[in-house]
Amino acid sequence: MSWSAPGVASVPGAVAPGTDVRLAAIEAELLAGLNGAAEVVAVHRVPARNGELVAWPSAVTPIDARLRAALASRGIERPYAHQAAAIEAALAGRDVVLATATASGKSLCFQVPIVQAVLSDPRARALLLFPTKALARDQLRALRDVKEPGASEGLIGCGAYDGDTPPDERRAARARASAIATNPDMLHRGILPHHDRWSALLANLRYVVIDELHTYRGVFGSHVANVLRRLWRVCAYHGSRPTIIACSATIANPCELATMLTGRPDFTLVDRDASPAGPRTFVVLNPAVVDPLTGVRRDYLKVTRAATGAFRRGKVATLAFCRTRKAVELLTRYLREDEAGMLPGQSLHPGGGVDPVALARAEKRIRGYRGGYLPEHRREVEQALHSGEAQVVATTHALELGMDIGGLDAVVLAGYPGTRAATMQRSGRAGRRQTAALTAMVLSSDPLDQCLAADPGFLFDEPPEHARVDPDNPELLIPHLRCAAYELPLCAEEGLAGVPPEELAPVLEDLAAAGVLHGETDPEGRRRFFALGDAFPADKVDLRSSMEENFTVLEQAPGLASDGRLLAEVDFEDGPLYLHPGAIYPIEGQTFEVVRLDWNERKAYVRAVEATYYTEAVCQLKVRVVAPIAVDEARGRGLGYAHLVRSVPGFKKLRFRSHENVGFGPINLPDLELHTLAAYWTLSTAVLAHVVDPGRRAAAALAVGHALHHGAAMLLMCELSDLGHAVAASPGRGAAGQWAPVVGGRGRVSQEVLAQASALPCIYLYDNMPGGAGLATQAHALGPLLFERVIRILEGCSCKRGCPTCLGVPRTPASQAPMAELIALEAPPPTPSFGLLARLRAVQSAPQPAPQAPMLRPIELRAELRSDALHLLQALREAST
Amino acid sequence: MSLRERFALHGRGVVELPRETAKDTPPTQTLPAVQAEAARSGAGRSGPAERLVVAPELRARGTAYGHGVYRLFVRGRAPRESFELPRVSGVDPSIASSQAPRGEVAVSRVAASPVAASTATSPTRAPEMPPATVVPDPLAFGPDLGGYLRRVVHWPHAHAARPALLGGALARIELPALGACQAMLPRLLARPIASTHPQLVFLDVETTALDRGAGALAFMVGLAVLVDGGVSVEQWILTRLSCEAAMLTDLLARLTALAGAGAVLGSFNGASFDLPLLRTRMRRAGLCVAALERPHLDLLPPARRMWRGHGSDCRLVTLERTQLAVRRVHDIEGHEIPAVFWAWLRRPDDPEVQAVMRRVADHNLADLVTLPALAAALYARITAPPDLDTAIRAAEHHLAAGRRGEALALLERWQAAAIRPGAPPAQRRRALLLTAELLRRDPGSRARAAQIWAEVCRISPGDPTAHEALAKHLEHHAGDLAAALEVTRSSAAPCPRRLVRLQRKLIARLPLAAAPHA
Repeated sequence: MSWSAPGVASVPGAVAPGTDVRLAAIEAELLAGLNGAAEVVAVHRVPARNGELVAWPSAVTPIDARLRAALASRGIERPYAHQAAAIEAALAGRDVVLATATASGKSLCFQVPIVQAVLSDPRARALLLFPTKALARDQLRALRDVKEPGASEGLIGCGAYDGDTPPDERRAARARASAIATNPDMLHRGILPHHDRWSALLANLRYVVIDELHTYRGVFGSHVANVLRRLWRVCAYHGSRPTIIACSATIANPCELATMLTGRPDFTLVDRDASPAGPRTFVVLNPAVVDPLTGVRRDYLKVTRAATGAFRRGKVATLAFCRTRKAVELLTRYLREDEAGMLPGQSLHPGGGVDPVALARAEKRIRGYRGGYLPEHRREVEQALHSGEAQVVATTHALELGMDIGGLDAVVLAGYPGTRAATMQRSGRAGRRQTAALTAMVLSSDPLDQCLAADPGFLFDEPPEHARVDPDNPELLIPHLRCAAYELPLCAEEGLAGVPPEELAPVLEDLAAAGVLHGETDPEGRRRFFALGDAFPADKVDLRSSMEENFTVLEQAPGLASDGRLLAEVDFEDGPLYLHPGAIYPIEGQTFEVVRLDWNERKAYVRAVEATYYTEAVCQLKVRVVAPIAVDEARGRGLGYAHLVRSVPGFKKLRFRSHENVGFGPINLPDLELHTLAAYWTLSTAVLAHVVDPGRRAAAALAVGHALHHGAAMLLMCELSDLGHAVAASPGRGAAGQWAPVVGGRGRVSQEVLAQASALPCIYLYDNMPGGAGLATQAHALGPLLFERVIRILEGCSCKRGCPTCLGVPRTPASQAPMAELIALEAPPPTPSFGLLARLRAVQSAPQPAPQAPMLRPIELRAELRSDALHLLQALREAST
Repeated sequence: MSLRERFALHGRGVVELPRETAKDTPPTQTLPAVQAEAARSGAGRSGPAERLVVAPELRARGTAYGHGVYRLFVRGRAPRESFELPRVSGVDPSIASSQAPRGEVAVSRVAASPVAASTATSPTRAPEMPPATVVPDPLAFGPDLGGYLRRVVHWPHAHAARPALLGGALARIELPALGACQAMLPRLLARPIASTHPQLVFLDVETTALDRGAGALAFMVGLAVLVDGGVSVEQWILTRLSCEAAMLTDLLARLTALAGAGAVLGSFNGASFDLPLLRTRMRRAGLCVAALERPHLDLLPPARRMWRGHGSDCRLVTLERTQLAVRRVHDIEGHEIPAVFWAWLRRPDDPEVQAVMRRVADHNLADLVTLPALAAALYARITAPPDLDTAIRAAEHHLAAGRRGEALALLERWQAAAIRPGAPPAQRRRALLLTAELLRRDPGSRARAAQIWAEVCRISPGDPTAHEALAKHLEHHAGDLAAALEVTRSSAAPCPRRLVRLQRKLIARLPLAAAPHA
């Protein structure tokens, strides 16, 4: 995403000649199955590609000599074909969307037009939108570095405008900076409601850059789309119509997303990557089966450790992406042990028997990186990666976006990231220097991962996922219309980006009649609409749903005047999971025990310990409808305000290395609650007459829940994570308020869910954010249309047995899971005695089934599941018409 | 699906309607019905937030959990906007009727212009009683001038002839005559002006928001023009948001006329609030703001200088009470004013709202009328300070305006009082140091400054400022190094570098024989 390394732009493979050889050796080691630790599921190869350098575009205007000199001093004599195409379109004032791989030089495509515009007209301004503050800073640095050889100042002045900018810098940025980097939240709250003060910027706005376009999707993307609609209005008022330069990672529909997000109809799509690339290899590994009888596989993290170890020994720069923060910490620790040559019985701590020099070297070469580390800590790791001091960095998705971290040779994925797009994005982090790149993915035992193992084509043959936004969702649009009316009176004739006047006018009239806006006819006879109320409407709209205060992790320091040494930050939602008293909180391999958690002050006090185990909290999520809004009692369906509770009843202690369970403790912390909207549908007894067997019934109900969730996300153009679903026994007549355990997107289904779903199941679909986002409301209102669509998806799906996009993947056996084939599973976590089934057992003293009992089921069962689910869906559709 | 259908669909999700109604009636009628139903049932546009917070079941849970349902909700995401207007507190119907004489509504809004008439189709705007039936009231507003109202109230010097306002709070306030005001200007203004007899215009606006976001506008503007025999207060009130430009045009015409007569603008905090706001809005309306660029007497900075630390704060109402002995009765609080305007827009014909709007207008009028009196009070204290403290503040006022000579003259008049031991030591010190600081600049009076510093050193031993200044004088101007060293040493916080330097210089001056190494 940043500049190509100096001098190598046109010579593939010129750097680190040994790398290719070393990668080949590592690849051979992986393909050999890591000494029997793993099976190779698939190998996917992309051949090397030659770069295509072209002349600077000059059709519109020749590139300024100063700019060319500045670029040449950085080793860029000529652009690649895709860069030239994008730059030419942008210079000609055409909106561009770039969808090329990571490291293809997308930044150049907005840097050149912006600098060119400012050099030819000093008044010209540009606004750059980044999803995070860190990215904005990173790109600003790159833009400041566009300077003539020997110059100390960049060619153009630029500044950041975000929550961290001090007031005097803000004033300077407003008055002088030619390019301003900010984020959508700041645009929404800081710039648009004060647009009069920003007139210098808005009146001369030539370019708007939307980087990481693909992150603006779902409900968040829909919010951003409305913020952009407001930006275009305000720009038009101040007399500018900026050209848009959007950069996206690989998604299925970059052009469509850009159009939906910005409301501009004609985007020039640049998606043919003309930068050179070395050969890329993608190896998918499945941990080997350790017990042929039960089919239990090796722990995926241990296999990841072995795989990453191969890269570590080969001395290639490697990023190891983990799905959880915990996995980052464990992997960092294990790799350091390996690097330091730790023997069994030794400990990593000083005096633990390990050579201190080797340990110090290991701590430099193996790093961890995740959200929650203090900003300066993160900067330090980024810098270490950049300089090559850190060789292997274990990270979460925090390093997925385009931060400039220099060249990397290899990527290890610990578990499937969840989407094809994210997989490609992470894998694309390797191979920055046009040398060969190697990606190894180690699948976990999750059903979704094992589904990939069964059908790797799902990963390589299908296009990446679509990104969707729905800016017209009334729940989001109405507050933004109020914000817009506050900024400038709304006038139906002017329309709104993407909404023609004839559509807008009646809606505005309706809103005025409802008192949301104030409508008037102005002296020229046009209808104008104003926002009522004395406060900023923008203050009441949060683009991202959570604004709760973080927890801080403090090391207890007796005698210190301050509270303690600040070690890390933890998101509010994760606090109870990681910071309950007794938890082991690891930071880059070092372990701390939480001594005390001050909930109200949001502070966790920890002390350094040499722990031999780590902890994992057990988490339960349940939902219920508390206040019905629209209920059809007779049919057992409706819409209501829902109450979502996440409780954390206890935690497990797991030994390092072996991951065996060595203890269990209770957690006594407040539950986290969320108030939202939920729609629910009960399957009537008549419907269930089609499926009599309780096991099949439960399986079908769960599959329908999954299908509805996915279908609704597609139809409502939101992200999967914007919605949640639950399947529970029907609350029965008038009995709203019963809890339904939520079925997670990944992992296992509890006994309780299965038991409930086998009776008279009721399917809940809720908005997975505080206050709701109108998704469940729409799902409820759409009714038959929704079922129609889900049935079409199901009928159109080419899979034979159900896949992640239609019926979901087979879930854990519990006792009657519909397994298509032998799918290996680890032991399910100890179910705390909360579930209905557990309580029943306690009462009846029934012997519990052995937790690891192998479940072999005939393959036909999946076909039955498909027809069962279709039966239920058709019945639901008919019942709602 | 059209946007409107989606909105209707959304509405149907929120409020359950009989299926037939939703299907059979065209959407034109459905949606308002839905929304009206929503408003009635209290669910409406207010999202689940408010609804859930009042659910007793959850309230119980919230307390049980301690940290609260509410907290997570309210801070996690501000509850969805409720479009209910904030209630105007303290609306007492009895007051409202007592203020509107003989039961008449004082603020009447009459559709007069053809534009206004054309909007009669809009449900919010119905024509009203013709003005002829309104009993003449000195405080009544005129007819609608196309989206705004205007009233001119003459506030005479003669107490008896004044209209009743705010419980007669302003009945006895002394207003300075125009000539007197003009004479005050040179002492009050920060910068001298060319004209000797300028017109004096005070300005005060009431706004729709207390911040200055892009949506904040001045819905009421008042000008107080000093005329012979009293003050003529002209006020504009917006009745339709879309006619803001028309109102501002009218206002600007008046201001331009006054500017042509060489007017000086007066205000309370106008430099950072009223004038920037008017400029922004006038630019928005495409008007030239040159008429606003007049010499400006903002009374807030001098008032702060004069009264800071005396009362609870330096708000206009506080100063009125403490300095002018004005006690407003049934005045409306500033923070309540925006809500009144929104109510006035939505329910223009509601007598209660009209009465409250009249209170806002009276509040604005009172603010304007007290400004000349406040200026006079300030002037009196500046020119004839009653005590040492005031004299110092007055001198500081002159200094801030760059009138060094006047400040010095004033302080010298008070020097005897400053030296006399009766006054509080802190005040004496401040007065003396300020005087010395002014004297120091003139080489001819440096010796006097040194005397004053020595005096301060005497009355407050060890005072670092005075010792420092005196030592500097002795070292650099008087050339008495030994004395300088002595003075530096006796300071409570001696400057180490000065000490070293002075000692070095003293040693260098010693005869060689006396040098320590010899």
